[in-house]
Order: sequence, then C-alpha cells, then structure tokens
Amino acid sequence: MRDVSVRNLSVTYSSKVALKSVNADFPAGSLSILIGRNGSGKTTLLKAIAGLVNYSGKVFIGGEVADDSPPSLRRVSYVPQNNALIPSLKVWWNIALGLVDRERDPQIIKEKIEEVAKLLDIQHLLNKYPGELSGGEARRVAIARALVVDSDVVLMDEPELSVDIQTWQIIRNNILKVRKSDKTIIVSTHNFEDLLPYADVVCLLHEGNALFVGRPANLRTENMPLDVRAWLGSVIEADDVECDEGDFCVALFNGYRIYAGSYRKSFRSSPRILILPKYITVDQDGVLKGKVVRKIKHDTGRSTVLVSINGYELVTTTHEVLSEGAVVGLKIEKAILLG
Amino acid sequence: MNLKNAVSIFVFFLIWEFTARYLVSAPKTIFPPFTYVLWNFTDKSFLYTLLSNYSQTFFRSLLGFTVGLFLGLLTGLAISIKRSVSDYVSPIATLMFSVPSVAWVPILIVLVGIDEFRLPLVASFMCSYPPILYGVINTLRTFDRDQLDITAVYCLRHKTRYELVILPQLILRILPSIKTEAVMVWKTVFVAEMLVLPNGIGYLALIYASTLNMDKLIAVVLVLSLTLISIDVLLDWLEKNFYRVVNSIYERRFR
Repeated sequence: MRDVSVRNLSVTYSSKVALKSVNADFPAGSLSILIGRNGSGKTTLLKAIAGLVNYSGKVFIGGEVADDSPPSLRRVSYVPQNNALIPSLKVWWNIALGLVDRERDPQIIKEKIEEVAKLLDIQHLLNKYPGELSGGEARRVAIARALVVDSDVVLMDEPELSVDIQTWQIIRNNILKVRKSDKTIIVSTHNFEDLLPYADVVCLLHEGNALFVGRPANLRTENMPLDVRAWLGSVIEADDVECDEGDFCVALFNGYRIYAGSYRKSFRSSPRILILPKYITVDQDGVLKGKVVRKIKHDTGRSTVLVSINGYELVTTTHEVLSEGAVVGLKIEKAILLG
Repeated sequence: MNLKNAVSIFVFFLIWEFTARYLVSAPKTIFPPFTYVLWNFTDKSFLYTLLSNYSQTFFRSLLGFTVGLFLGLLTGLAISIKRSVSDYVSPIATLMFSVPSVAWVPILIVLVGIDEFRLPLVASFMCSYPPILYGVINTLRTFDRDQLDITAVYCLRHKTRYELVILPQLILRILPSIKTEAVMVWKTVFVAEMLVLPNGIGYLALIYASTLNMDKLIAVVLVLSLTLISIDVLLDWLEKNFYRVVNSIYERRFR
C-alpha cells in the first residue's frame, strides 16, 4: 500500500493555468474522489500524479518523490476518460499491455488476465477487438487493464462517462471491490453522489484550486463561492440519521425526513448531509419553510436562489419568480450522507 | 473476385474479340483479337523474353519501393520524436509528396544518368519515400494522445510501445498510401524503361510498339495490368485483415 501526496502542484498548458499550487493527501488504501466542474483541473491532477504532464511542485508516492520517475515506474495504473483501448489489439492484449514487460512467464500473464476478466465479468470479450465493444464493456476492459498490473495506485478519470446507469452501477461496484485490495484509488467523477458515501477523501477543485481536501464528513460549503454552491449544493448538519441495517438511511432535519441513500460507514451523532440543488424544489406545500436570501443567477426562465433555513443556506433553482425576503416552502427529495 | 466481376470481364473480352474479328476493318496486326494476344503466352520464346524483362522490372520496383518504404518509416519515426523537427520537415515532405511520381523520371535522367540500375532504383525510391515520410509524420502528429499516455504508463520499454501500439496503427494508417505508391512505382519504372533503359517490360513494350507487334505489346500491357491488380488485391486484403494478422503475430511471439 502506498499513499499519494501532492505539494504546491501547478500545471500550465500554454497560457492556461490548469492547477494552481494544489496540496492534497490521499492515504494508502483509500478511495479518494476528485470533484469539480468541467475544466476545474481533475484530469490534470490525475495526469500529474501519473507523470503524464509537466508540472511544478512535488508528487510523492509512497512517501518518495516521484517527480523524476517516468510514468511506467511510478507503479500507478491509469484509466483515461476515453478508455484509450488500442484498436489494433484484441481485448486480451489490451489487458496484457502492462504485463508484457513486467512478467516473463506467459502462464502467469494468462492466469492474471483470466482472474481480472472474471472479476469484471469480461471473460467473453477477451477475443474481441475494442471496436466491437459497447461503451460499458470498453470501460470495464480499461479498468481490467489498470487492475491487472501490480500497481499501488489506481487513477480513474470519470469512469461514469458514456455508460448507462446499470453499467455505472457495475463499474461502481467494481471500484468498491478493488478498494478492498488495498490499492489507493483516486477517481475523478461528476457522479459523486454514488461514491461520496464510500469515499475516504474528497478533493473539491474549482478553477485549478483545491477548495477542499479531506474527509467528506468535514466538508463545509458555507464559505465557498456561490457558483460552486450552485453546482455542488449545500452541506447542512442533520439532527439525526436512522438507518435500516446500514443500507437505507433517512436524515432528520427540522423534523423533516430526507432519504439519504445507503451508507456503510459510521457517522457522528449530528451527521452532515449534502443537498444537491437538483434535489430541492420550491413548493409552497413543502413542510420546510425558508426565506429567499439572495438571487444568484437567472437564465432561460430559471432562477438560482439562496434560501435560508434555520441558519443554513441552501441553493435551489426554480421557475417561480421569487423576490428577496420571500418565504417559500421547500421539498427535499434526497440528500447524501457525509458522515 | 465474384461472379459479377468474372462475367463483366468475360463479356469485355468477348466484345473485344468480336469487334477485332468482324467490326473493325484494320489489319489484325494493328487491332488483334483477344485470342491472338492470349496465343502469345503459349510461345516459349516470347515467354522467355517477357519473363526475363519482367524480372528486371519486378526487381527494380521492389528494391526501390522497399528501400523507400523502410527509410520513410525510419526517418519519419526519428523525425517525429522531436515535434519541433517534424514541424520543419513536414512542409518539405508535403512539397516532395505533391510532385507526381512520373515527373521525377526526366529530372533523374539528368541527375542520375542513364544507368539501368541506379535510374529505376532512384525513381522508384522517389515514388515511395516522400509519401511514406509524409504519411508517417502526419500520422504521428495526430496520434491519439491518450493512447500514448497509456503506453507511457503501462509499457516499460520503448520497443513494446512501438511494437504493440504505435507501429501497427501507423502502418494501418499509411497502408492506403503504400497501396497507391506500390502501384505508382511500377508505372514510373515502366515509363523510365520505356524512355531510356535497355531492358524491362517498359523497354519491351516500346520495342513491340515500334515493330508494330500489337498482339505482343497488348500481352505486355496485360501482364503489367495484372501485376498492378494483384498488388492492389494483396494490399487490400492486408488492410482488411491487418488487425488479425498483427494479433496472430503477437500470439506466436508472446503466448
């Protein structure tokens, strides 16, 4: 098991600054997720850790400076956004790519490929070409290629991209399976609501800056820029959480029960929950009553407003024309339990 | 070749035969029927002359083309390692590539001289080298960045990167150029032989034309045409089955 740390990491592409002095620690054997809008620097951070872009600052892998090591010697695996399967190679060879130089015994290579193919349920694809695979199958092959090598760190760039919900569930379950194998996993994702409850570390990037790096339970949004809150949502402290054998949780807030998905970690007595703007609707019949504090933006008939409830400020979007100071009813469909 | 192709060719030869025999009043020595042309292939002395000259043309085309192909690949790969170098070389390669292959022949007659080895060799080299160089540089400039990243992460050795990832895709991308130029090499050597050389099927064609041996001239042209079709079919098959061929090579080498 090896941890990953970056110190004052900066990356510039021609004149555009992609990462600005980012500091982050990803503990050994942890599942870390990088979140942020498009262009926030998630992919660049992954590539810098893998040694695929020029950067200033330091990258430590397993406590050692990796800056002078080429990507192939950093003991990292990388799953890029578009899978980058080699079209001229059969799936078997695509998976074997990382083993050809590392393993001399063909029998061991064969066994390792069979093992990882079984784990990801892709045994039937081994003799196909990448062009014959669906998006989800190609994704699993790219993940298999990353897992088959004996790396300590697995970097995945938006594994949810171009796969349907069912395939994403399979991929997510595979990520969680891999987590048990003591590898340090760093996943950049837009679909963080599915991974946040399982993540050990969350790194929130915005315009190349790391706004937050730490345990999800410590995530706070009140001091974050409004455009980040309009996208990420708001973190509030729930009064309590009730879980049905740890699989189905309901957060209690102001006497209101909010479905909080599944959660497999322990949480404190007043756990934090993240409420995404898409799960809050302005509804005058809503039990929760809040006061419109501020209009953030208005475009194509939708307003994004900041509503205050019990000292917490939630971001929501609505078609209704609301003035500042107006009292509105809210319905919250779902929350993400941060712990 | 499917049945439709076969029928179409058969009908074409039938029309030729009928036209030459019954519709055209010109003597058979000027417009010979197809069977007259075919009959030449039973003549041992003609066959010997044809084969000895054909082997000359074959050797010249193959050698010049192969040298051009490998040098084009090697220099293209070497140049592409440094992006700045490829930026400088690419326009020159484009300029050379845009010169029609046959246009090199008169230039080379002056520069290289009428030498039966060097002239066709350089001419066929000039057919293959610039387009292959141009193809390699441009393919590598537009190579999928993520695939290069993947090879950088997973492959420890440069050899593996080139062998498993870069070269197969590079060759597949330049195969259409290879196909076009392989045909063009034959045409260029044929023209060079016709213009100044004392042997080869181009020379043979000129001799038969000047002695009004039309049936033999057409037989030579037919052989050239069949050769070009064979090259086209062979490289077409390779293009379609390239991934299969490449993977079977790996299977034998590694598994």
